[in-house]
Amino acid sequence: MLASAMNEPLEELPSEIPPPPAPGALAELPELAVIYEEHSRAIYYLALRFLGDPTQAEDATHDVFLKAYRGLKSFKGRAAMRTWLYRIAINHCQNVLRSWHHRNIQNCVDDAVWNTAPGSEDCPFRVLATQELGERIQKALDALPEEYRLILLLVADEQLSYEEVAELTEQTVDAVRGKLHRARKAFGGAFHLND
Amino acid sequence: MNEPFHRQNLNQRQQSAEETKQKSDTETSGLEFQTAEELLRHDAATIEVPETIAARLAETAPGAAPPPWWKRWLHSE
Repeated sequence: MLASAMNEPLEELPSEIPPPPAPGALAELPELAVIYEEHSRAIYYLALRFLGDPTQAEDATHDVFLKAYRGLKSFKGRAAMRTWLYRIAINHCQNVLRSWHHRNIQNCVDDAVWNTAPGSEDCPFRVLATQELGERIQKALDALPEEYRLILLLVADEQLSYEEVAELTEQTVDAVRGKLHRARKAFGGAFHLND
Repeated sequence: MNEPFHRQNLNQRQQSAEETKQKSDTETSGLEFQTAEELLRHDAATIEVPETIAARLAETAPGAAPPPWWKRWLHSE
């Protein structure tokens, strides 16, 4: 019986063996995978908080990395990769913000309002309910002029120097420092409104 | 000398209650950030990048056509 069992042909393996799971969606594109892994969070975060819309942020992040991938050969390494990606992201997000929809729903607040707003820059941010923190941050950022919002988001990235923020926002370092001071004050005021 | 069983049990319950209170205090005391940037960094660290972005890139990037020659030429000037 044993001998007859040994003479039987082995069961054939199923013809369609599922492929092993890929280490990542971008496994086939190693160059892109490397930059995506390192910078996607920063770029997505900038797009999310600058545009204030998760769907638009998702589209923007996709488009930024696609543009970057297509332009990798022209990237001469004169700037850091992060700065280069931020430049693409800022241009992209500003184009989105200049679209008809955004132009028509954006609040126009006189810059002087922020300059004379009561000081809340030195007041620490105490957060009890962390579930709604993202919403509060978004509301506070939405209340700021676009330029202040951008400067705050860029300065919050510890990988960027003030010089790089100045270059990305096309102004001097002194101008960045001045606007950052006002942006912090305005953000603090808007954030604490929801206390 | 060994403590009686009911005494040991009471100590354990007191210890457990203290641990629960400490945990609860930490949860209700929340978080504090000195600057707006610190708050934004915390926010950024808690954000999940949607996995759909990488999946979309995996589909679109391989077929992404290079820019036309004149655009590359203008860019290289």
